[in-house]
Amino acid sequence: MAGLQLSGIHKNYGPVEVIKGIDLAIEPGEFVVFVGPSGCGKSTLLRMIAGLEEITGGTLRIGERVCNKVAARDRGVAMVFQSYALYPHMTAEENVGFGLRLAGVPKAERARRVREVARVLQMEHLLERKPGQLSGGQRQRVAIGRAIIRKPDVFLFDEPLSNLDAALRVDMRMELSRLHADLGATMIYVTHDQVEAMTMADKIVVLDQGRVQQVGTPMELYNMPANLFVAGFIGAPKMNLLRVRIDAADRAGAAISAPFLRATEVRTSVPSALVGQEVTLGIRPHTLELRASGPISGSIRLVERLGDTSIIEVATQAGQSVFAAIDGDIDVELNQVVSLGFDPAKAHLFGPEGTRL
Amino acid sequence: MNRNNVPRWLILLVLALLWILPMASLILFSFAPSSEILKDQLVPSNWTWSNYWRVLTDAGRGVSIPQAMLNSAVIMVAQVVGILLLDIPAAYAFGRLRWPGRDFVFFLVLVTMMMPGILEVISLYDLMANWGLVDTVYAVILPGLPRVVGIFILRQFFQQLPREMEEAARMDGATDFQVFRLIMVPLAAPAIITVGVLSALYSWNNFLWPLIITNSPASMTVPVAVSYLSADTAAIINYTVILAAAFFTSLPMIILFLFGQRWIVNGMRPTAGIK
Ligand SMILES: Nc1ncnc2c1ncn2[C@@H]1O[C@H](COP(=O)(O)OP(=O)(O)O)[C@@H](O)[C@H]1O
Ligand SMILES: [Mg+2]
Repeated sequence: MAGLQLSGIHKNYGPVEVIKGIDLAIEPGEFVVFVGPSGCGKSTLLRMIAGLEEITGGTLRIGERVCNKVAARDRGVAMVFQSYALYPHMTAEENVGFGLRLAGVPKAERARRVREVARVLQMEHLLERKPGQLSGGQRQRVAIGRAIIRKPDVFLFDEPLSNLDAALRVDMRMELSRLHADLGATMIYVTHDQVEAMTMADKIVVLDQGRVQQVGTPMELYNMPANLFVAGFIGAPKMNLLRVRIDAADRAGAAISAPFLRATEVRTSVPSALVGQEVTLGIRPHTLELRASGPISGSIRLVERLGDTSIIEVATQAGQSVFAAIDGDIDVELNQVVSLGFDPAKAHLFGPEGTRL
Repeated sequence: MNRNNVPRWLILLVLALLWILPMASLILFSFAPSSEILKDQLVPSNWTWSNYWRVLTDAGRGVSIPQAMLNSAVIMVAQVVGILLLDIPAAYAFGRLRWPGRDFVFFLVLVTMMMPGILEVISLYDLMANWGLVDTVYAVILPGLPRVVGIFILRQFFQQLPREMEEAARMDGATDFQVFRLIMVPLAAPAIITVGVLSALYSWNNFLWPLIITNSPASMTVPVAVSYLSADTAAIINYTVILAAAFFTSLPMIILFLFGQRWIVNGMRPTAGIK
């Protein structure tokens, strides 16, 4: 078990800067998820930690040791690849035991430890098979087994579930969380799927365009998104982001209005300099509820029934569409005129620069 | 078989017949007395094993076919082993390692493949003469090493192997050489077998260079020995013995090819063995 310390980490591919200065502390034993859209640099960052990609600038510490120039195999780090990267010419047993074989562990000892790992991952019956004879989920297990057998200080996962079908993904998600609890090792997990991030992480690092947008627990990110990017990225269905005008502001709250929004109040302290300016109001669909006379009114354009909740799209007369998640038991139909309201304490305001107010 | 395919099948049939007829006739007449071949017939009317007996004992002109086959076998094994030992590391270095000037050096290597082999004959002969190797198996073996086609095929294959496989091995603690020996070479097995079989065929059938560099029956290879039989100006040429020698000496390669063809088809396909 080891913590990590990233200071001013940069990565350039030729003239292109892909990672633009990342400072991050990861505690020993933490489950950290790097999340962000495709191409934001998650894999690059993970691969620099693994030692598969050179670090252009900054300092990487694993435990107490500066590891910028340490070879991958000497970092005490194991990695599970998105494609699993199992060795096709070896059986599952040989795949899992390969690292021990290279380390010169005697055959009997090796076999014993492979069995032990196989038992933990419930794949004892698969050991004789080659990767070509395994399903996606089974390959995944072998890949994880190969990572845990050497008892590394840090585990790295690069989108390990993205090749599995939805049901299996949910199972494996729970299994990985359980594995983390059992092993107590530091895990860094990369995904573009915010649901995976929310469900598994102790700490989420939201990345966009090579920069950290926010670091925090899942609930911190959900309840207090630091900027518009995080607000839009975390949470499903997506937060409504609406242009509104500040009519008045003081320490306790602000009065806002917009063509689609009858004047209303939110409990966010807004600098008085912003009065008269446009800002962005963020309201999660789950925060909106049907009311007899709420500040937003319009007709229902779309109903998506999920069972316990229904997602409705409400088109206001001013043309703005708003999404709301309402109780699945409520009967609504297309073109019905409804009115929506929200708890003023649960609304988010983002200033002209996109940062949280 | 659907009706649209009929013309296609007919064309294939004609092509197959065109290819098979000379072979069939060669095989049939190798079992006939030599007088049969001069008659106007497609299939011999008398049969005998005697041609094969002569191939094994005394083919004529002091040539020993068994000795030639032994020579060819030694040369073939040495060349296949030598070619693989040189081609595999070279292909790996060109395909997967980064070093300055790599692509230029590879270009130079390819250029040697474009040059007709005949251009090298004189200087090679001179070299072998200097080394005192003329008329020995070594002189036949050495110029065939390495084979550029093999480097080319293997390089293509190495390049297609997924990078993550190599990275996984590195994370598992493998050194550069262990990645090569324990992961990359085994994964390239289909391509390696392909190059091995193609090199064996090439070695066994190679004619021009062995003809130039060997001249005594004791060091002749199979193609040279068979051609030597048919180049007799003094005696009446015994064609059916030559046919028997040709068929008999190609049996090892026919067998090798039957076993190897599955690999050859697969070895040309880059992702073979991965998925
Ligand atoms: N070897 C490379 N050479 C040049 N650009 C690269 C290379 N690898 C990745 N990139 C670029 O770096 C950016 C981040 O890539 P990556 O880390 O794979 O993103 P993610 O994993 O978040 O989808 C992308 O824009 C990608 O095109
Ligand atoms: Mg990625």
